Amino acid sequence: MRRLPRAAALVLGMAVAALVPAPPAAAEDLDLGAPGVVRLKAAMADRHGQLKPLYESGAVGLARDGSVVLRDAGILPLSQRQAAGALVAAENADRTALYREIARANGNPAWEQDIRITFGQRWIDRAPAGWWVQAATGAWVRKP
Amino acid sequence: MCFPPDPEPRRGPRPAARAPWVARGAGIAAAVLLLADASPSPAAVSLTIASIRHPAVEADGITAHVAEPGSGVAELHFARMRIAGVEYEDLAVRCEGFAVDAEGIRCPRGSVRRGGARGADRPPLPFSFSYRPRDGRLELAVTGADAVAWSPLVRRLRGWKPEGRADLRLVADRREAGLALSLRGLRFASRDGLVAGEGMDLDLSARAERRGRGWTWWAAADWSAGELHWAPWYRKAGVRASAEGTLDEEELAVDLARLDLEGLGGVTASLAWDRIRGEPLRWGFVTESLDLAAAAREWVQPWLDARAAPKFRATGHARFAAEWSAGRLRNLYAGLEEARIADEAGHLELHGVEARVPWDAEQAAEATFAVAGGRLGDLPIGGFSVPVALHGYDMGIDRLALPILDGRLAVDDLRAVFDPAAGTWRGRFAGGVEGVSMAKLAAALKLPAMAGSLSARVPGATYADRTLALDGAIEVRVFDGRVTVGGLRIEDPLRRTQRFRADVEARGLDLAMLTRTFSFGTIEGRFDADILGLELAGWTPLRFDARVRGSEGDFPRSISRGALRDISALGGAAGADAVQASPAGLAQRFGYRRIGLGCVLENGVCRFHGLAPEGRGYLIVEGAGIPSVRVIGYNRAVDWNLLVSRIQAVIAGRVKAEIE
Repeated sequence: MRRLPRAAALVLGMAVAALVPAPPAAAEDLDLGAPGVVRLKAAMADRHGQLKPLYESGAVGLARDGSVVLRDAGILPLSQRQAAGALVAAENADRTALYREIARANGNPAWEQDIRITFGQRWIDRAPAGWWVQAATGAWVRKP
Repeated sequence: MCFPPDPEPRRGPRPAARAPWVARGAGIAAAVLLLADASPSPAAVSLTIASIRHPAVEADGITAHVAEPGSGVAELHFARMRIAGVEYEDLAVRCEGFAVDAEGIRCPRGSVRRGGARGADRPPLPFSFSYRPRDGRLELAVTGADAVAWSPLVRRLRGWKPEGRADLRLVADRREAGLALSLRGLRFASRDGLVAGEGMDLDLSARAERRGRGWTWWAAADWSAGELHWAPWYRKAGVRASAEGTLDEEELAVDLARLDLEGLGGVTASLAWDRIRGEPLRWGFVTESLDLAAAAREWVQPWLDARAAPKFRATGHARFAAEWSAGRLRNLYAGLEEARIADEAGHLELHGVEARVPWDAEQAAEATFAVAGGRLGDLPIGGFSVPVALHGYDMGIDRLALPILDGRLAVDDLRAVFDPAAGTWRGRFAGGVEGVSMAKLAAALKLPAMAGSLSARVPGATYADRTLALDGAIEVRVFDGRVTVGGLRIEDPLRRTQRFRADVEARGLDLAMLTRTFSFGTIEGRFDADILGLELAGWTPLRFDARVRGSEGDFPRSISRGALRDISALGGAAGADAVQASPAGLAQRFGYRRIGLGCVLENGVCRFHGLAPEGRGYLIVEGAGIPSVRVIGYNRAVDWNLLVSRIQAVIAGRVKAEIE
């Protein structure tokens, strides 16, 4: 299987990131996008309003593999943890589909994993201060 | 859990000190290494014991200091203790009013705490204790203890940050035992918060009687307040349980347990637990008629949500039963009564559902599934009943006719196989739709009235690797022609991220019928169409290569002024310029020789092409006869969403472009 060169992956990631919902904070990008991701973008944008307080509280963090993780449910009231888990599962299903669709749209499904990693880093880079992100060591850190 | 002392304790060597209970009750296997009076008071006694060994208790590094035997203060310290397989380290026990005499041992005001700095941060566990060797009567009471104070003794509490108050009373002798435990305002949480309880009030009472080498016991529990989250489930209080069974050294048996969950229903269960291996030997349960709405909302949907599966609603009643033994599920029963099931997206709704699924891991069984009616999208579904053959993880339907409108959906063969090791399904299907009139179908789907009938055959379909793939092609007869759908694949058909791929071929469709149906002017003739590489996500087209052209053959070909206007409108406001009619005059119909238009959809843009290049544009309609017409397209690319809105506007008659 031909691997996507790291530099190409980065360029591709940067280019596509401009077309899809940027890390949740950049809602201005939501109107742009390849058709394959439009539906996913809409779902993710709708969900972002519910996820944002979870990012801000630290209950949910941005992982390096491009997923979101319910890293500390204990921050939330007991009655809200179930809904938070469902939100995270739905968001991750859409993110996985998004990475797959971007890889397809660029004519190489084998790029999916590279795109996932590239996006994971990009979400983390763009995350506002105070959100929890996964460091290269795998540990969770609060973004300064 | 505390158990009564051994009714016939083995006798060990009697130590020289005044502690006969130690020698008799614990059975010292190792030596008492040192007995020394090191107390400052002549009345005080200090003991140092290297180790104690007993089948149920081990202790090392024991020191005891009794300030005033008979009515004083006793202090014990255990460097290490192991009781019933659970290890404790650095335990300090203090007892005020401590007394040892011929009647036994009494500690009316005792406390236990972890030694060292860790113990200093936590409240001690207060208790009272008495033991009467004559009849083996033991009384232990813990009153108003902070939950965290239990953590030195209950290892599994460590790391759960327990809060709340606990009262415990245990009374036992050699024949019977009684236990009462009350927890108030209990709060705990796992490190990740995915298992947690808050404000919980729990009461447990138990009684046991000695029978032979073991015990027969009865217990009742009531969870009356608070809430519990055990991801992905959440529940508020309102659970009562009662149980009875036996206990011996090898096995804990719950012969009959009854669980009542408020708002849901009751469950009867049994369990046999291997105490030596620490794992279940067998278990089983039977539910009463459960409220299906509550079961779906509280139990099934959270499980589906954790897998990003679609949401659904259900009402009615359900019954379940299962038996598990020797490491695997042996049988399972699931039944639905007067149930209504619908997915939240509104694609499917079934009512009057009666289901009976008696699954057995070893033997063949037959399930029945009956539905009074429902709908698939906007299509009404009539009632049906179908037997389902079950054999282990293999299930199938030999034949099913499901009424749809005036026709039916026929299943000739349906097989599904579950791979428990991989957790995946594989399956195959053959069947089709027969005799559905297009008039009724169009009305049900809120489409313009159409003539003809819909018949489609699916010669075979398989499901594997989350992909439903069609073998062969589906053929639909419509508009006096035929439409064939081949290469059909649906990825993740049960998820929101489903993706649909197919190649569509249409041959000899009657243009007059089609254009009349959709109020698109009038075009006489027939046409062929190919849509290759069609890919949809959630019914939104992602890409395709489509080409529509007039069919070969000898039949009248004409196009109305209205149709020309509508074609031109698809190109936008400038599209009208593309139409050249000669002589236009007041003619309402024009002859044509060829007609054709193609669109390649990619990246949200439809790139048009026609019959042939024509100047800066492309030829769409090549006229013939007098009056004749030529339609030339100049718009090479149109945003797909814009194109769809234009088509909708044209069909709705809102666009009125002018023709030269």
